[in-house]
Amino acid sequence: MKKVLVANRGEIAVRIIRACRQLGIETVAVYSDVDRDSLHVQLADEAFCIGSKDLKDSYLNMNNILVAVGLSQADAVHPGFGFLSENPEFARLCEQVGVKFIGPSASVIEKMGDKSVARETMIAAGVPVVPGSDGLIESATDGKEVAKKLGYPVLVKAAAGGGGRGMRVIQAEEEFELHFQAAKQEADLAFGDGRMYFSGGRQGSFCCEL
Amino acid sequence: MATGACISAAAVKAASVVNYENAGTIEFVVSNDFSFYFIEMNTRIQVEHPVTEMVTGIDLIQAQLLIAQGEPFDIEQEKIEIQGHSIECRLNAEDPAHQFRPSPGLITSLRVPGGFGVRMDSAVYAGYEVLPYYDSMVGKLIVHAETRELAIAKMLQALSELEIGGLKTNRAFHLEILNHPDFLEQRIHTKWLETDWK
Repeated sequence: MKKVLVANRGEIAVRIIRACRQLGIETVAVYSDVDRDSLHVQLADEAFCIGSKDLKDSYLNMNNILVAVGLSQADAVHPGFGFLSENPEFARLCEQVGVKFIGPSASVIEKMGDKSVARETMIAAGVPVVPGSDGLIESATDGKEVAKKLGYPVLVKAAAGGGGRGMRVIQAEEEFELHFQAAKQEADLAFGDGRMYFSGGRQGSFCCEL
Repeated sequence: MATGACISAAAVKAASVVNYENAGTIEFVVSNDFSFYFIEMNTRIQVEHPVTEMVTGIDLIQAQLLIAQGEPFDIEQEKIEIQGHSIECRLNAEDPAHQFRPSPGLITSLRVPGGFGVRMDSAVYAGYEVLPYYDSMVGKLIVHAETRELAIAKMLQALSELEIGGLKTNRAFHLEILNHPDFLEQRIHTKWLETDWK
């Protein structure tokens, strides 16, 4: 790898640029027009504006990012976290245009990134999973029925989610519709994917990330 | 096996069954009785990856780049030793007094903490404007020390040095948590802020 395009902003973009430069790899930053003065733009060897401030026009715009890949002749893309990092379509497009996507293959992202498929995969492998629904919540009405069985409070999460977005703890049935729709909307906005599922989360538990 | 070791074994199993390549994170939830459950896998680098880096001494972003380059993966699981304790505080431009609503704006001054085992991963500088359109995280403050107690002491010192002028941040909120008896005596859980805070 000679040149890596960093498809992100903020501290993670800076973190990745530093690691690349320490290995003697050139870096390409991408930025929205309001991010012109950002540190990641200053620290990268090259920088390309990929659109306006709205996420869908810049940091989530696969076409614009791939144009920057082509123009810069980068041979790999690091997606960072959030944005397109867990988007299998983007990983697949990178593979198709012959640049290395720094992460797992598109098919693995699809499998694990889709939180409901991941649950099913883990159940099949014998890894204990949080009690929840074993698939997507098709509608608020369906969701309410499952929630009643699970017992409140319930945790609803975006299938494409991460970083706490598209996630809500719902305390009681009367609040279900409101919080479910809000979380779904948030997921739609942040990931372009509004599919939701239940994830357990009991009183008095710890969260452990490995 | 201790719960921690069982969780690690389950994490390895989860990554193996999908032939996972490159960095990823498996999230589990542990209940009062120490049984644990898979929540999800994040197929990317984690926001909290510096904590892993500090206690293992492995540069995870560098490892990601080397794996993508197809270089032989020479980190043996048996040789990875967890050393000491690490804490990360996410620094957000938000107002804890008003439901943590975002508080974007111009950073008029910045004093960054330092010292042995103190690390700040950030993209802000004095004169930088935190924009309302994006995530409110302005940086991550990470400490590493021999024990949890020493790591807490180090984080308290680092947070007291930190000054982000011109914005409301959650700095003082972190200080309150680090000083809270429940946190010090490890009586925290996923609903702690909602049920036991104050």
